[in-house]
Amino acid sequence: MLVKITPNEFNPWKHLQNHELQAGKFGATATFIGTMRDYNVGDTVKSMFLEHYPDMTEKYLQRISDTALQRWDILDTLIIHRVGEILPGDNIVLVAVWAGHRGPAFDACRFLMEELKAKAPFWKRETLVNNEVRWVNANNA
Amino acid sequence: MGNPVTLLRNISCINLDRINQTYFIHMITIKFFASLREEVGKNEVQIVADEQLTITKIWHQVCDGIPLPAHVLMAINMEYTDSNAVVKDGDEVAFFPPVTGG
Repeated sequence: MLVKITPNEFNPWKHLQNHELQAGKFGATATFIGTMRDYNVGDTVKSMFLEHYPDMTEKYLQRISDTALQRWDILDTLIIHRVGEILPGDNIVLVAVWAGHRGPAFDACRFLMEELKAKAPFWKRETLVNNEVRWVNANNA
Repeated sequence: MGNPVTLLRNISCINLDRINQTYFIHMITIKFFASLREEVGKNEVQIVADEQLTITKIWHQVCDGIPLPAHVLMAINMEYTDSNAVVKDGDEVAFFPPVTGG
């Protein structure tokens, strides 16, 4: 299980490649990658700042990873989340689950992502092309 | 003037643990995040309380008459809690708006 918060741009494919378990030991890898859009509620977005609550964020993500590992027949989990200043096209989050079979891999990956969206203490503040700055106050499905 | 608990610790003849037990001196750190930090105009504050406080009482003591918004999330020592929770000496309390990560 790995949880990482990073202020730096990251390549999810590279992380997946580096994190994979020993060949032959797993049969399914379910992943979710969240990427910054250049639009939101009808406006063009220039950049975004991702604030978080240091330590509580890591603690919460570790807890939901533990829950997933206990609840489903899975082998390993990975969560990487970006913080700080980000630009459209940048990756925001990677959630990955390795398992013997696709069912628990899909279910645990969905669980981790939904729990992260619902309760992990991150907040988005976006800057529009007209330089208006506003907090994002809703998490869409 | 330093903070009261530090001052008390510096007086060697006083047993601080006993004082804490008897008079309920609580040092509490309160943090605010994101849009809520801007609304209340505070980032982090520390208070010394001489009685046991709930989260709601702490909000009212620190936020100068601003009503506790219904949507606000709260944590003690980085664990989600509710407004009736009682805070202990040394606790870190956090108030923040609904989260928007991912």
